[in-house]
Amino acid sequence: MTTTPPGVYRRDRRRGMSHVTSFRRGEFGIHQILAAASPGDAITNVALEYRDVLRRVGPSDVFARHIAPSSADEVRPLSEFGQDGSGGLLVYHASIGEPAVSAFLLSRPEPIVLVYHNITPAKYFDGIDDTFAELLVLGRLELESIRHRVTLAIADSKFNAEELHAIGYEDVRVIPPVVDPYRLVRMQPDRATLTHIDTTFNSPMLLFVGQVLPHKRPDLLVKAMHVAATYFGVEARLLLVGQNRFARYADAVSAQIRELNLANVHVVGPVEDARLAAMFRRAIAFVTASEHEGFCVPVLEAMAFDVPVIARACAAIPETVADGGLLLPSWAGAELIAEAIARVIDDSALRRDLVERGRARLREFTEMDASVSMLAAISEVV
Amino acid sequence: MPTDPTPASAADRSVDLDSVIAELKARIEARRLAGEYPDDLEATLDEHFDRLVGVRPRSSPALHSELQGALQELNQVRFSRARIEPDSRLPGGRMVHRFMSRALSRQIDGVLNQVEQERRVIAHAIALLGDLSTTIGNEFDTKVLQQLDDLQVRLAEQSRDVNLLEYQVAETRERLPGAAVDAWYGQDHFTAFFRGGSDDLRSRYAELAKEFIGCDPVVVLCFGRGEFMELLTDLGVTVRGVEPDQQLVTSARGRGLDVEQGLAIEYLRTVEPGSLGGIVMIQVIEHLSPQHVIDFVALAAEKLRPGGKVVLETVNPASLYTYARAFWLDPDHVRPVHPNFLEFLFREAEFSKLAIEYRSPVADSERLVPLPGDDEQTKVLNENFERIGSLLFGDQDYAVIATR
Repeated sequence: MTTTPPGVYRRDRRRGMSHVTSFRRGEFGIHQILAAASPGDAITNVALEYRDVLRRVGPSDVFARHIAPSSADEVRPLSEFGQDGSGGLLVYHASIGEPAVSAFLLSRPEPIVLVYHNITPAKYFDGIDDTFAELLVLGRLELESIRHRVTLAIADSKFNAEELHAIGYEDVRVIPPVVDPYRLVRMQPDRATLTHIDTTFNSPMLLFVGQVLPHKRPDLLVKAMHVAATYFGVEARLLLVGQNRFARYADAVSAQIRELNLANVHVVGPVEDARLAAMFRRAIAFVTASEHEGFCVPVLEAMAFDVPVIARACAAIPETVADGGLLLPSWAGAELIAEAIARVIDDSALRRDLVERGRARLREFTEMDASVSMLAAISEVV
Repeated sequence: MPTDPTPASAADRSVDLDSVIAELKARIEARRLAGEYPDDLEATLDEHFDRLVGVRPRSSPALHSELQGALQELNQVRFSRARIEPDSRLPGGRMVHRFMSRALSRQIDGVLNQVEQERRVIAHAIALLGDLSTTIGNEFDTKVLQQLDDLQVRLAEQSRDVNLLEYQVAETRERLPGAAVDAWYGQDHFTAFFRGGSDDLRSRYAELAKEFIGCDPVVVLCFGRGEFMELLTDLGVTVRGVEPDQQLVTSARGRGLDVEQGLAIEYLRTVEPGSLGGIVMIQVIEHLSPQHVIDFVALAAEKLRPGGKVVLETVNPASLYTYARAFWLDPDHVRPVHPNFLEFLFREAEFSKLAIEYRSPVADSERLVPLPGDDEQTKVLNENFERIGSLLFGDQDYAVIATR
């Protein structure tokens, strides 16, 4: 297996510090607010990365309204906010409607920095989970209601910035999320998973990482696998790795796989990082048919593992993938995705090219050093 | 297992991804053309998944089993002073809590006992509610099903009654005098058999047709084989014919006559008032219901312009001979129309001129032969024979010539 090219991932801490001289340790806290925190959740991960960066310049904690038990060590309940003199600046990560959080924000005197990770359009959940669809609608309304209190708006893609512009935010900074794409690469892969894949799988393995949700279109990947297997004779496996948030939708995907008799497609569910690292190390390609993404971190993680990326040019994906993967048109259906999968499996020269493109794209991403941009932007408002 | 791509150098980046995608698209087209997969493959796969993800409310058995689970959990809850954690962040707080717990044990246990009793009551009430909803559901189901059964029985009974009624109405309609006969034989054959050839009829009506010279346009209702129309055409009169029998219409049209298929009275109703010069009904009025007979005269008055004429000929009911030889020959005859009644109708409709012409005298060979002799007795007998003869052997037809 390939390893991380040395020197590609350099977070220049000193350069970051030089931009935040206005912060003075101990006097001013910058705290982050989330609606919900859970391990593996992209926004929780981003907030924790932010926190590590912010702690270089002062006290910084992550507070959330709902906290998964396994995140309780890292994230504090929102009700504790202000009890220990915390205050200064609030960084609010907006992702879903939560009346308690917006009421909290509107009640606080601190200036607010909004970090917008995108709110999935409610239409994807109509009829699947009406309550959740309502929360998504509520989320967008809340964005509008807190607009007058927001001192600085940060979007992690141009696509997200456009959405903020559309609801009246004027000055929106585009700063990629502070994520470490090499986090999993540096991790020891789960040996059992490696052995299982090596001994059981006798065909190339494709990987999709993301929650099993309607807008991520796992169903389209399943359809593509059906086309590839049935009409092109492609022998390959597909692992769908991620939380099954809505049992009914996940059940429908499982039923789809069962009814199409696709023994080589597996809904794996959520896995620990070590197992995910093992899967990335054995994947021949990362494939996503997602229709709506505010950024899509797994694409960068795949590039970090030298895994070629196949994606559709939807929402923020073209910005994240840029020139680093095989970007199919946004309208690509099961047939085109199947053709792309077959081609990438068969064509080693194309795979080499995609790997090289992924590396180049990651260099661009890490050289941007989002943490520096983020701290610089925040320093302007304190 | 696939082998990993070897690390690529910048020189390896020679693949043009746009052309790769163009190739992939071209391949799809090629496969479609070659019939490698169906045209609607994607649509079929979409429909399949849409069906799987379709909105499916949870079934009542699933809800019932969830309710049972929740009740079970509630029943397992036990309140106890031991479950109250004495932990404290303050130094010595744990001891204070323990002391308080012991000091207030009677009160705490009392409260917990009350809560436990409440829990039992609540659990029992929820279980009862669950049973109640099941019972209501069952009763509702039973009632609805019973009502559905009743409705189905009633519906079956009613549709049976409706079928019977439909049958009876059809039967009755066929039996009604005046109901149109749906004959399997050709009307032209019937006419030829009982009324003679076309030439006979033409010579029979030649004089009557002359009544219409200068009366354009003329409509001939139920023209039959079209002899009267041909007579009028020969006289240079513009004529249109209406006939219910499709075969007769086709035949007349084949001979160049201006005809259409339709019913006499229905057709007249559609004609512009005062637009006709003449109306002809030869041997037709006896086929009409009494209502249509009187309607016909009113319609003729409305549709004819002043000076326009109606010529109709029918069987003469004043001649008893016709009942024996002519009238009941035609199964489609409804009832004879008396000349005096027609005369009354035309006068009531304010026709300006009316003539009744008796036609088709009974052949002498059919009449009663007078007794030879000249004596008084023979004379009386012959006069009586004559009276009987005039009643029996009156002219078989009469024609009404009415001028508007």
